[in-house]
Formats: sequence, structure tokens, C-alpha cells
Amino acid sequence: MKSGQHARTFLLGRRMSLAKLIQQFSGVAELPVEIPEIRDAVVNLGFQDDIIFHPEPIDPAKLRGIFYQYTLRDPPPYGDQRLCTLIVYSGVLSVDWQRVVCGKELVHVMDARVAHTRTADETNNLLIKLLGPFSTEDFGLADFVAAKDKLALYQILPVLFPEAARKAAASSEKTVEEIATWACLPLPLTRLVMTDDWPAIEKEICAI
Amino acid sequence: MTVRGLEKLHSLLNAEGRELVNIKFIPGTDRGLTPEQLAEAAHAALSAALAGHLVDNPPMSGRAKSSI
Repeated sequence: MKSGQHARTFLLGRRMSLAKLIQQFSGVAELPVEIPEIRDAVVNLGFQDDIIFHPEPIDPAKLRGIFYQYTLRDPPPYGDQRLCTLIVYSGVLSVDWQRVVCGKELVHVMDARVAHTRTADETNNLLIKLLGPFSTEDFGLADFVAAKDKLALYQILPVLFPEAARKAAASSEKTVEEIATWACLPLPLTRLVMTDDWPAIEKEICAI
Repeated sequence: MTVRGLEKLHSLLNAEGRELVNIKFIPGTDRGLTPEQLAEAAHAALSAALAGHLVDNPPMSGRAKSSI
């Protein structure tokens, strides 16, 4: 297989995994979906050895969460290499936002290699792009990676608020505030999921 | 961005046998936040986490599942 074909197959595999994850939760009508349930599903898709969630008293005005994926070599004599993920989140945030932050970071376990941020230059460019204006003439890989980073927050919503639960909520007489409490999700994101446009948005964001 | 903030962060990401594969962030809500401040905050948070014994503590709703 040519390298281009291999890369396309690899990317397709990653996309399909997000779709599989969403599909796995789509029939869930009882909420809240808890973060460890999503972690177990991601691990069962075969991506990761260890995923640890760690709260720190981080000022959420500065930082809400970090996804840090690394390899670690076990000590001799065996010296096996493990793939680990450490998700550090702000324990100062409300629980509903903590859940969104951790869910969003879990999406990155499924990042295609082209979306990885690995070197000092790539990290620097990601930080600049994340805080820079959306409009840019500086197109390139860094811009794509930053866009993917922002998109992940929306990609986890169909898992935290699955299709069956959304349908049940839409046909109920509950207010959006009551639905947000039920789902244990922030009100602005609950409002988004409950709009008539959401099924089309979900289809689009999960195809990327 | 000054080199120092990023250098500190990148050194930490590749220390003690760890080798960075992928890193992502959710920046804070401060509209005036700079890349340097974000790098510093990330360094401080990861340093604190890695300095102690890592305990897996995912956020939990604390509520029983229910239908609407």
C-alpha cells in the first residue's frame, strides 16, 4: 500500500472510532452518562493502556484542562513501553463543566497522528492558535490542529447527551434548565443540543 | 511567546522517562490570556500533578441515573 493510501486508511479508522463511540451510547436514555463509562468504552476500542483523570486547583480563567499523552518505559529487566494519558482538569470548575472538559480531552485519545502535537514548535503554535483570532491568513497544520482541538468539545456532546436521551427530553415538558440538571451538563451546551439543528450539527462534526 | 515558558513546559513533558506523544489544552476563560500565561498555567498544573502520587479521580455527577 502506498503511504498516502495508508494515511487515508488510518484517518478513516480514527473517524470510524469516534462514530463507533457515539453509536455505542446512542441508545442510552438514562442520564447522566459518567466519565468512567466513556473511558471504558474508549479503552475497549483498543486505543490506550492507562487513562488517569487528576483534578488540580487550577484557576479556570487561565486553564480548564490538559490532555497529556506520553510513552513511558517500564524499568528493566522488561522495559516495556506503555502508552499513558494524563488528563488534568480544574477542580475549581463546577462538576458539569469538569465533565465536559474531561469528556472533550477523552476525544483526543482517538486523534489521528496528523493531529498530534508532539514537538516544542507544534506546542507553541497550538498555544498561539488556540488564543488567536479565528480569522487567519496563516493557514497550515497548526491551524488545523487548533481547530480540531476546539471541535473536540462538540464531538463529545453526543456521548454525554446521547440521541435517545435527547429525544426523550424533547418530547417531555421539562424546561431546558431541568434538562441540563438531569444531564449534568452546562446550560449553554444543553441549549445547543436541544435545538432543532443539533442532529444535523452532530452529523457534520462527527464526520470530521 | 518568550522561550522560557514553553521550554519549561516542553522539558517537563519529556522528563523522567516520559516521551510526549500528544498534548491538547482547554484554555481558561480570561479573554486577555496570552500563550505565555497558558503555557505557565499548564506547566504549574502538570508539575503539581506529577509531583505527587497520581490518583485517578474522574469527575462524577454524584447522582443516580434516571429517565426524564
